[in-house]
Amino acid sequence: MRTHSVVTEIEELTLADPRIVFIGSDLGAGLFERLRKEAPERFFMEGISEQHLVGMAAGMAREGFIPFVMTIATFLTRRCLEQIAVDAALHGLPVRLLGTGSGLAYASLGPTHIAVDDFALLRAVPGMTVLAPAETLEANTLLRQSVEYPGPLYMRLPRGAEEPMPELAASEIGRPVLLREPGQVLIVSTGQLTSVALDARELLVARGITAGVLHAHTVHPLDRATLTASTAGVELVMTVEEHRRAGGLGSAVLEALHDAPLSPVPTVLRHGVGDSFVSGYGTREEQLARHGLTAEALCDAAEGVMRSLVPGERGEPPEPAGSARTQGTAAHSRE
Amino acid sequence: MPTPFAGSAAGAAPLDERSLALRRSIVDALAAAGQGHVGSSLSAVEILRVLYDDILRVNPNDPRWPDRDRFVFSKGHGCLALYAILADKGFFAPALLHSVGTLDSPLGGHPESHAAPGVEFSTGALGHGLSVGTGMALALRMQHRPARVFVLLGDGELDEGSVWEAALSAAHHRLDSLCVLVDRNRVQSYSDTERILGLEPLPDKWRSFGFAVTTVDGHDVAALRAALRQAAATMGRPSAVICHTIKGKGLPFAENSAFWHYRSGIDEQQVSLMRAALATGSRSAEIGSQNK
Repeated sequence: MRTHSVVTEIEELTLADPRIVFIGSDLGAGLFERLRKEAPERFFMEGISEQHLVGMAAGMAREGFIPFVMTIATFLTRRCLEQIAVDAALHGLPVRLLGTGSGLAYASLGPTHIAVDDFALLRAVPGMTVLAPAETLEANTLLRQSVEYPGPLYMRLPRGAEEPMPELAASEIGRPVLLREPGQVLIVSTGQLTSVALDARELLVARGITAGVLHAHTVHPLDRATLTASTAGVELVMTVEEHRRAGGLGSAVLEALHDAPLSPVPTVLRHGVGDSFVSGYGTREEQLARHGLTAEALCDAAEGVMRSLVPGERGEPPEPAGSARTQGTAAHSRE
Repeated sequence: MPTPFAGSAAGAAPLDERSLALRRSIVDALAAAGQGHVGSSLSAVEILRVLYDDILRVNPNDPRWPDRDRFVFSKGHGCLALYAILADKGFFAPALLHSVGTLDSPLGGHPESHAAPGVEFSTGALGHGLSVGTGMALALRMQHRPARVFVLLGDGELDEGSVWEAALSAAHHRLDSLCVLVDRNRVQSYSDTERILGLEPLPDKWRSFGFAVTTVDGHDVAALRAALRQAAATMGRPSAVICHTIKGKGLPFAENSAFWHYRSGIDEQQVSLMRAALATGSRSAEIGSQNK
């Protein structure tokens, strides 16, 4: 199943619904040309002024419009966090924040352009919905739903180069997708790393460890009921995200599991970017490998922990780069 | 075109009974809360009075009337003055002023639109109102509504870079339905604005950004009325009215003093001094401010 790009989806949504306005900062030349020509009164390329963009979008939303605000993810979340919190969220306004180049996509451009703290920043804003679709089919589905969804919403836009995942074409905001039934291990993943999580799961199964995959495209608010139901009987929960280990999906999963009336809490291994700015450049894939976010590294990490959990088999599990382990109800973390 | 107002003579005229009464309402709120932005509220009283008496098309019985003029009170810390005029106009009962800042009051130390009837948009963090007002003006233009948008900024607020992002945008979009009002009281929390981060030549700055600029004595009701009417009639570009005011206007001991920007621990004795200064026939009423 192939689909059109998120840009085309946004253009079509905007052209079909007079409530939608598109606001970009200073996007790449030629982008949204159709929208600019066919609905110029609802097309705004406002310049490099993220604080103003979000405040202006809130003012429009207050008057009944649904603004789609699009720029580079890190600028859209760090630079204007106060406008997101006060102008959009405090007023419960349907401002849609669409972040491009999320995660490690701009690895070669360095730490000013890498967005691995957006989940953490926006999870702290009351009323925010935070989405990270796995690929374009799902992104387009969630974009369509976002039109009628209440309150402010942030979405990491996928790059568009991912393999299509038809099973995600019917995703619903707020409902994680159980892509593979849980076994001894449950991998909880989000965004474009769900495909890596699926590959890691295959490797685990090949090594004799049963494992499932829960794709949490809605990082916040996390569907705690589905999560806790999916972890029943699971020995190891492994979270996988293209984000700092602090404050993102892994933290949300830990919070949910520890808040739930469950005993015992399964061991949780969080995979992501550690407590430092991303160093070096390279490609996204090279940086993913550096942070242990490949199928092989994830599989090795899970297998190591599973061995240590087997009674009679002793020894510390290997601690791969990019992982942090929390076991039982006494949560310890490196962050 | 009126003669540009230099600002040095602002507030020379005595306050009339209506201005005194609005200030006494502010004191009611200060007495209830025991704290508040005294100076920042008192400087804005005549600006708000003229807006609500003569300029804004609003309906206290229908605060969300779609064609109302929007007034974004961006200098949210001066909200006691806003509460005073909203109560006066009947958006809520004046008795509510005695609850300001208490646990479940709809009236807080900064105004929130979901709680306080007549408050257009919640403010308090500075540098937000002009972007929101710009968005509102663009939206209303797209909807072909006749409503105008007024945004009141503090002068200290102009330190925020986001104000100037919004100013670029408002001028770029030729938003002639948008009018910026600056409460130019020349004092911010720590000290004089020109000592902290100089703003002058302020009219030139707004002019260079593409605004039609007027300056006015922000305590002269007739002059304000004329300036705001002229600004509201501007065509083809947004307007800015720089209202020269006196921080703490009406309380001789507070005027032009950064120490009265925000005051906590306001006790009965201080409240009595305030009430005496603002009583009918008081010094403020008879001779106006000479404390400049």
